Amino acid sequence: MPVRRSDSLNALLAAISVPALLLASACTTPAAPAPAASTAAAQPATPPAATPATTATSTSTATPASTGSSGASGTTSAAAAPAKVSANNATAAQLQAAFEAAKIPNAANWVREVQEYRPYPTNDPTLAKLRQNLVKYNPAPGVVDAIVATLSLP
Amino acid sequence: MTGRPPEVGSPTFFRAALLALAGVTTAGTAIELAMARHWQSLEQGIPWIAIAAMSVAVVLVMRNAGPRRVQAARALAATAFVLGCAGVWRHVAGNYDAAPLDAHYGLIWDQMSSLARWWAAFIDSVGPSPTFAPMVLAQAAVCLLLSTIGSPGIEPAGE
Repeated sequence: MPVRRSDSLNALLAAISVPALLLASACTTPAAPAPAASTAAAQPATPPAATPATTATSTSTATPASTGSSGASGTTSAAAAPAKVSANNATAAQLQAAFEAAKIPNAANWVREVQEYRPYPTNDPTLAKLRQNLVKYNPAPGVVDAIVATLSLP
Repeated sequence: MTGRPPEVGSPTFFRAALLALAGVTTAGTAIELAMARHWQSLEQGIPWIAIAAMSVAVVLVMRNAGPRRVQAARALAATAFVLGCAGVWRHVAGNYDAAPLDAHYGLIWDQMSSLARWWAAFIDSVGPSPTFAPMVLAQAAVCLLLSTIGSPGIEPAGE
């Protein structure tokens, strides 16, 4: 039965060589653009382009009203500090409002990503899980820090 | 695939080897997906369906499979193959959608041609998803399909 045996051998070789070629092509991706480390200064990056008109969820009444904005108090109110919203519980509208207040570009898209990786452990105030996942998108320097700065736990 | 070990080099041997390869690949993919916590959204559940289908298919043809079991296993493997290919498409689309978030491509995305955008997403230059990773499930499915060719259970005269 030499013919049958060679048929089987050919089938096996085909089964191994095709995925091997696929794997090889997957592993030889061209050089990606220079990655921008997200560990830059904590200030939010200015948007590189005008915020696109993404069709996000409603921009309803979720403007994060920060405390102590009613004057008369002599505290050093950090006017630029964005109000924080819950990383685990805030609605999409609340997240988007917070991100837009912090001038984070593509706020609606970032809202989607923040929601995707929920829940975030409440014993990790640095939101390392979120940072780890957002860095995969190769964001501009400061964007991840700006996002995290708008979030609180739980 | 009976109780006695098949003769090395025989068609039965290669069928068993291909089936083992399909099983190991499926198990490895399940471990990899679990490590990546690939269950963050409903869509990320798709490969788990493929893994379940492949697991059942491997068990079905593991020993003394009759025609019905082989046919069922082939159908399940074909489903896994389609899901694997669909996974490649979803990864490319996910990379495409994530492009505006990229520090480099976000600046030039609007100026790029449609072809250039899809190419960048396809070759994994932009976005977080490994384009060809889901093909490993399609590969496992092909291995299983090949292992059923000439199977005594379905094609008695094949051997």
